[in-house]
Amino acid sequence: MRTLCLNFRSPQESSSAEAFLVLSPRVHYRYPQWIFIDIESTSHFFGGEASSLQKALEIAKIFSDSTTAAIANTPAAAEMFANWRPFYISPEKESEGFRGLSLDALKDLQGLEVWKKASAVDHMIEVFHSLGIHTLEGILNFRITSLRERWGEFGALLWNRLHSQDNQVISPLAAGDPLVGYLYFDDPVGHVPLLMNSLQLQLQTLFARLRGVGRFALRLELVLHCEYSDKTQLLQIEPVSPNRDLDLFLDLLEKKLHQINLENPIRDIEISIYDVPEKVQQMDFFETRDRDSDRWRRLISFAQQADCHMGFFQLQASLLPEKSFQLITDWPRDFTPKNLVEWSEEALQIKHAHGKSLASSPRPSLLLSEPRILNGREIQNLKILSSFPSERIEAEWWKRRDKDSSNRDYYFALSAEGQVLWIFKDRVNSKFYLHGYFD
Amino acid sequence: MNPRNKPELASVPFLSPEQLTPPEGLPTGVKTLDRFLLWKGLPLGELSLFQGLPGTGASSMWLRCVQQVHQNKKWAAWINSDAQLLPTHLKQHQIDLKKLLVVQEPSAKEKLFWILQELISSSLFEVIGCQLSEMVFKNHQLQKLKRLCRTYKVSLVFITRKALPIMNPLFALAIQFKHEFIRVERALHRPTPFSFPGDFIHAHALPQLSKSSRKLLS
Repeated sequence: MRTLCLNFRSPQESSSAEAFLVLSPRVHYRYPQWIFIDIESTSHFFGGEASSLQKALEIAKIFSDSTTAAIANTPAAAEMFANWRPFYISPEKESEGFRGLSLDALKDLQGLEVWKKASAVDHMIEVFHSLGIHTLEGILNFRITSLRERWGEFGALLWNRLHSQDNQVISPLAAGDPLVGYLYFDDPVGHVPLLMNSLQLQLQTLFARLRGVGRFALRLELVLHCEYSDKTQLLQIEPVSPNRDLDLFLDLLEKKLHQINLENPIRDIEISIYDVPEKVQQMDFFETRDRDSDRWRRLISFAQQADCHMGFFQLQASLLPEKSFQLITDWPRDFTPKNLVEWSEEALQIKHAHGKSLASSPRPSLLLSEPRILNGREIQNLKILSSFPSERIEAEWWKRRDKDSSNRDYYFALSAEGQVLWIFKDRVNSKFYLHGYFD
Repeated sequence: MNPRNKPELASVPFLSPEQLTPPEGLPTGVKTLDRFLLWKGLPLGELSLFQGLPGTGASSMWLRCVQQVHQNKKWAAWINSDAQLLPTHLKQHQIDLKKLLVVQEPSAKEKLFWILQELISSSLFEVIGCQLSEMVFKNHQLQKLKRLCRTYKVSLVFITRKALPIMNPLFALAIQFKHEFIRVERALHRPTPFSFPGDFIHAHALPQLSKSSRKLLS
C-alpha cells in the first residue's frame, strides 16, 4: 500500500485531515501533526506519485509552512522518511531508502500505531550501538527470529516494519466535524485590514476542508465579540448560489466589515460555514441548461456503453458511393475536394481529386450498405429510365477484378410499385445490382 | 340567431379565432401539406408515421423538414435501417452534416427503444427520423415515446415500409406514400384522407437528368 505521510511539524486539529480527501478517501490523522494518505489507487489521477506529493504539500501549506512529506510502501516507513528524508519517494524496494539513516530513525518508524514503549526503542538502539551497528541497513540483515528472541513481539514488530510486512490499513475517513473556526485576539482589533488578515488564514483552512469533503458553502456566518460591554455583531455572507469561491467570500466579507462600526474593537470571532452538497449538474428551471457539447458527449458515452454506433457523416474522396463517407464520432470536417497542382521538372502537373465531380452527380437519398444483385425477373419488372447510363465508374484497368464490381454503369429505374431505384450494371460480369433508392 | 347573443352567455368571455394559437409544428417546405395540417408542418411533441416502400419519397419528405430545421440552426437525428442516408445527396440538398446525427440501427429492439429515449431526452434534436422495415414497438412503448416527445418538444417520425393494419391513434400524423400521390391518413382536426400529387418529391433529380449536356432520358 503506497502511503503518503505529511508531517506538519506543528500541532493541527484532526479535522485538517478532511482537506486531503481530494487525494484519496483513505486518510488518517495521528495526533498531533501526522496525516497518512493511501494513494495506492488514486495517485494516477494526479499524474503519478510525485504530482500527488506536490498536491498534498500545496494543501498542507495552508495549515503549516514547514510541512514535510514522503511516500513509501507502509505508513511507518513513510513517517520515518517524512522526518528523516523529507520529500522522498521510496522505490518499490523500500529498504534502499534506509541507507545512511541513523538508528534514531527507528523512533519514527511508527505509522498509524505508535510504539507502545518509547524506552524499548531506545534500548534497542543502545544495544545495536554496542554491537557496532550505527545505521539502519545494518539491522536489515538480522532475521526476525533473532529480534524476537531478544525483544519478544516488539522485536518482531520492528522487523516487520523494516521489511514492509506490518500491514497498517488506512480506513476511509468519515468527515463529520462542523465547519467552524475561532479567532482570538490578545490585543483587540478595530482595523479592517488586520481583521481580514486573520480571517483569511482561518477561512483558507475551512475552505480547504470544504473542497476535501466536496461541498459548497451556502452561508458564512461571523459572530464578532467586542471588547467592551459584551456587545456582539453578526455578519452573514450568503452569495446568490452556493459555491467554494474563497475570493468571493473574502470580498463580500471585507465590504461587510467596512459597513460596521469598529470603534468598539473585536476581541474574538466565531466563524461558521453552513454547507450544502456540491451540485454536479443542476437542471433547475431558473438555471441555464448545460451546453450542447456536454449533452452530445453524454449521448455518445451512453451509445458506446450500449455498443451502438452513432456519429456524423464525414465525406471522403472516393468515387465508389459506398466508400465516399464514413460515420465518425467527432465533429465532421468540411470536405471540398480540389485538384492538386504540383511542379514537376519545370512542368505543371495536375492531379485530379477523387470525388470532385460528386457534388453535382445525382445521388439517391438512401443507399444500401451492400449492392444487391437483381435476378432476371426483377430486371424484367423494372423500367430503366435511360438507354445510356447516367454515370460510369471505372477502376484502373490493371485493378479490374470481378469481385470488387468497381466498373459500373449507373441507371435510374422505376419498379412496378412506383419506386425510383438506383441500379448499376457491372461491366465485368454484366449483372445488374440495386444500390439505392430515390426515396 | 347566433348562440353567442343569448343573454345567459353574455358574461362568457369567448375567444376570437385570432386568439387561438395552433400547436407548434416544423414546416416541411411542401406548401400543400403545410397549409393542410394544423401544425403547419410536422407536429412538435408528437409521433408521426410515414408509410411507404423505399423509393416512394418518405425519407425525402423528412429531409425537407430537416432542411428547415437546419436553417433555424437546430439539430436532427436519423436512425438507419438496412438502407442508409447518402451524405452526398444530403449535401446537394443543403443539409448540414454537422447538425445531423446518424445512428446505426441496433440489433436488438429493446436497444432501439432505449436509444430513441436517449435521443429525445437529450434535448438536442428538433426532429428525429427512425427508419424501420416494420413497426416493432408496442403501444406502451409508443406511449412512453410520445410522453417524452411532449416533454422535450421533439418531433419523432417513424418511416416504415409496411402499412399498419389499423391506424394507431398514438400517431398524430400518418402519411402514406404511393406511386404518384401522397395521402394523409390521419391528422388532427383535419378531414382525412387527404391526397395530393407526389411528383415534386423527385423533382430535384429530374432536372439533373434532363441537362442538355447529358441527354440521358430516352
